[in-house]
Amino acid sequence: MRLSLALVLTQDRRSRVRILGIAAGIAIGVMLLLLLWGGYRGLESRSERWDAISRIEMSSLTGTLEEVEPGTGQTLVAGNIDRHREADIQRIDVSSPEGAPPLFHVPVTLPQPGEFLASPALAKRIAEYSPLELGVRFGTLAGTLPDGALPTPDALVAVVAHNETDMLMRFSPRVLIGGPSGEFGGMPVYSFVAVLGALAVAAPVLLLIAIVADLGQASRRERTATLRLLGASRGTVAHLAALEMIPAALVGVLLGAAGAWLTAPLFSLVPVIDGTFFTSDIRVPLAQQIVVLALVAALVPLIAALRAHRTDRGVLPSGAVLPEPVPSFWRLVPLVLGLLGIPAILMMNSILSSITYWLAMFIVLTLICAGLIIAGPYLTYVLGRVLRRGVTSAANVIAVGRTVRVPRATFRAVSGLVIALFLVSMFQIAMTARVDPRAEMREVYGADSPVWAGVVQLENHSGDATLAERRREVMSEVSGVKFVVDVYDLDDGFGGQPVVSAADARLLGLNPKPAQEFVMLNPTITAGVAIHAEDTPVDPNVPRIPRNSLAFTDGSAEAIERTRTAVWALGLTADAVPYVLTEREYGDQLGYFARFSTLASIGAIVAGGISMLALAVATIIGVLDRREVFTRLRLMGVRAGTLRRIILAENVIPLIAMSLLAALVGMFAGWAVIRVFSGGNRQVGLPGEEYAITLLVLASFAALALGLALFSVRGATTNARLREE
Amino acid sequence: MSTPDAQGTQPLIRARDLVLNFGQTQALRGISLDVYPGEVLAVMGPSGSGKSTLLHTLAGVLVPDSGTVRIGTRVLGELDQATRDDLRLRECGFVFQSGQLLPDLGALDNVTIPLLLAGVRRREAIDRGRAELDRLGVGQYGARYPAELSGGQAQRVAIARALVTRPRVLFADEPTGALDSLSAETTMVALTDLARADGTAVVLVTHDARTAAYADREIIVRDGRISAGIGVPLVDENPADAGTTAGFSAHPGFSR
Ligand SMILES: Nc1ncnc2c1ncn2[C@@H]1O[C@H](COP(=O)(O)OP(=O)(O)OP(=O)(O)O)[C@@H](O)[C@H]1O
Ligand SMILES: [Mg+2]
Repeated sequence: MRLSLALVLTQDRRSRVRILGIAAGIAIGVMLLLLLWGGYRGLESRSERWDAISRIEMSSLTGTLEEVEPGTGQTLVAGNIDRHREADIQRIDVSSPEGAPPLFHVPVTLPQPGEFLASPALAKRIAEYSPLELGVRFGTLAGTLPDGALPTPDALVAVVAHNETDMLMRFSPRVLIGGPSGEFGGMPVYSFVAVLGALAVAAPVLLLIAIVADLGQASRRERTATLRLLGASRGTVAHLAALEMIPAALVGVLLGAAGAWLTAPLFSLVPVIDGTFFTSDIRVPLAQQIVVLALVAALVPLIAALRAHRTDRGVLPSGAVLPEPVPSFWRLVPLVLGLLGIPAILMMNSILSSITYWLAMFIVLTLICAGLIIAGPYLTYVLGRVLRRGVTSAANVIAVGRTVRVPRATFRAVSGLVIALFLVSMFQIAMTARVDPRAEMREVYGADSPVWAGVVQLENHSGDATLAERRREVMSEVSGVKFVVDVYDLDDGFGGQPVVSAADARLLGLNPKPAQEFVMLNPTITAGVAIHAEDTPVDPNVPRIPRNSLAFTDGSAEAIERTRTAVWALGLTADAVPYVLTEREYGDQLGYFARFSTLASIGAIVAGGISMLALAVATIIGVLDRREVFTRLRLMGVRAGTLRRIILAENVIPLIAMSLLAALVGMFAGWAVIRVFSGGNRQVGLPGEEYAITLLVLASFAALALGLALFSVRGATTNARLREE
Repeated sequence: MSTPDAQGTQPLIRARDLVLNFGQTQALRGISLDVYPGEVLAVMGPSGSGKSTLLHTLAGVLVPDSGTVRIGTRVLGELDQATRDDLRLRECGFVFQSGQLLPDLGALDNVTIPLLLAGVRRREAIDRGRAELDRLGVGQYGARYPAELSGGQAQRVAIARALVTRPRVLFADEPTGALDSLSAETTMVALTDLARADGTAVVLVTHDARTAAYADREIIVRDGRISAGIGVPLVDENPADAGTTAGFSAHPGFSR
């Protein structure tokens, strides 16, 4: 009976159009939900694949338990992070009697010794530069690595095959034991980002779905009242609302799934932290998709039924508006607690240990974020009350009147944007405290160190004098290298005093006394401090251990990379990777923040886009709800332009006020994060152009949403509908 | 006050040969009508006969397929949309059966809206709005929202809003249609008394003979045509040549 009634009631054209609109809203929501989940899965599998690679790296402990026993058929690996023009290259050298040793989660067949496999991004890079600069470093390119071995499509990875003798001679390899674990470990930063992204995007998505489901309810209030008048029970009306929503939910869910599938290649191009995504990672597997889709398809009618049940005004005459209860003052509590939490944490600086410190900060930020949403309706209400006295134009009087009457609905329409703005402001402000690690280094070590930017260093951990000699020879040959200096450690029992030959000292621009065979240098030399000679004479009979070879290039990227390539290609790396001092990472914790801030901007733009869609829908609902009144106003002689100004003011006033609040609170939180992060050592500055661009994009979204709303309610604000009172 | 024609007054609204079709439906089939300053004119007739359509056409909301409407010296068909809107705002008031108050504004704010739209300062608009509410006996409900008012109270607020700009003509479409007979009566008394006091003409659409009794004269519309007129000439073909048609019939509403 109910089903047939529902079918009868949904037959007219207008309700079909409405259902299509709801389906479209659900489709967009579902699409973003699937993409978001795909992104999360993508980060997770990226982390897994990073683990597979990083367990092979020198710093990892894997394989140290088993001794290398030559000739016993062990698989030997050496993993290193090499560099090429600012980019990290994961280099894995392998010798193995097996055709496909368990290096990665997917089987990879090793090429012949002397050949290598490159990730597609590395292969592309090799093709772009001269072979002497990069290609020769690895040997002969024998093929590309499969996606399953790569963390991201942009990862630069090389797997270089060797025979065992070579491997032992050129590297200090370890024994590869077992395959990569399937465990999700390693990189908590990814899950943090995923959670953050979920917060920023999922909330407005759900909001959109809820508001869209509401669209079904709002435009049918009168019909509900009539049905109730005819004797339909509350339950029947709710049941009908659910039944009506089923086709929209089904169509929306299927369209959303198709949309996610089709747009995955596009969204996979968004760089998150250290690279873009594989399209296959972003596409959620069918089985999981079915679960998500079924859940949404079931939830939407349920929400519709619940809302119908809750907003059922019984048999009230049509047009009677049930006012929202006035939001209570207590809604401010979480926000205020959160804001007070910040000075509290700052003061407890010395008491809290670093981990609880962060936990406390996290709790406080969550409290502020949730507090903004909870306090929103109350603040909107207060804002309306304050403005009500001051406004003078008819449009503003009407708009503010509505803000006071329905603060919840008013705030809900802008809440997605409020969260987006809070997050983006926080990250952008925090980011301004970031100091370029190189600039910082220069500050610490002295102003005259830029010369180090052109010096390729090669450490000599084994102390092998022949190796040092060969390195020096090879590097000297490279075009663009001006000279090479060998630095020794004086083995005098005190240790650590660097020494160079008198000839090398002259190359370095020092003036050794004629009789001196060796010159002692300042011990901080390899840290980038300007070189100067110490006065202590060096006893030539004390043994010297080769410590470091420094190739002074002309400073050009080509020369630096050619030097590196020469060392790698001739097998002179042993246990050390050639590096340039300025490339070294100097604990740039805030670098993460910089990455997050870009990410937060992207997230804010996505979230802002969705919430502006929600705003447009909410505005249209608000106008449709009052179409009768607007028609009468038009009749009275109120111009269509004035009506549009009313609709604009209704949205723009709370939008601006709440956005301002969110941005300010976000900036305050960002400042606090930096205080906590740096122990008060760093200052925040004015946010940069990325912030301005994000705000601009969000503002144009808002303008677009309101334009869209005005355009689509044009019918209700012009003469065309005047007879439909 | 005497009959308009006797005074030789120019009609405030002069409608000639109004024809208006909604697709197949012929809502107006050639109506000519004059409305004089300060008079209360009742438009009666069965449901669907075209009363509301006539009212909207006289107010310039609907544009007739043929025929002209002149308000004062201005011919509506010759004005652009914005000017017609402005004319309605300044010179016309409207009262409907129900649901015309802005639900999110209190009664007083509702009354001030037309003044604000006409450019009056808010302070002054509030004073005048309050005075208008007092005049209609609903001054104590200024702070209430429409949903918190009874039907009769809401109608008085609506009348206050319609009269606060001192319009030259008030269009009322079934203003008492949703009220019981007692509140209908008090509402009608208030409406007609105040309109007469202000010299505002009233075009009053109603089914109800008791409501119509408050008018100076009445016309009956049937199938888009005027079938009968009681009171004054329907059309004063030649104002200078007035006095050729019947005088007032006696009715209780006419008591000036
Ligand atoms: N917007 C419209 N579209 C199509 N037909 C219309 C429209 N408005 C009115 N009509 C038709 O025009 C005719 C006159 O309608 P009108 O509303 O003027 O009648 P009325 O005399 O006011 O009736 P009631 O006393 O029931 O209010 C009716 O047949 C009606 O169906
Ligand atoms: Mg009517």
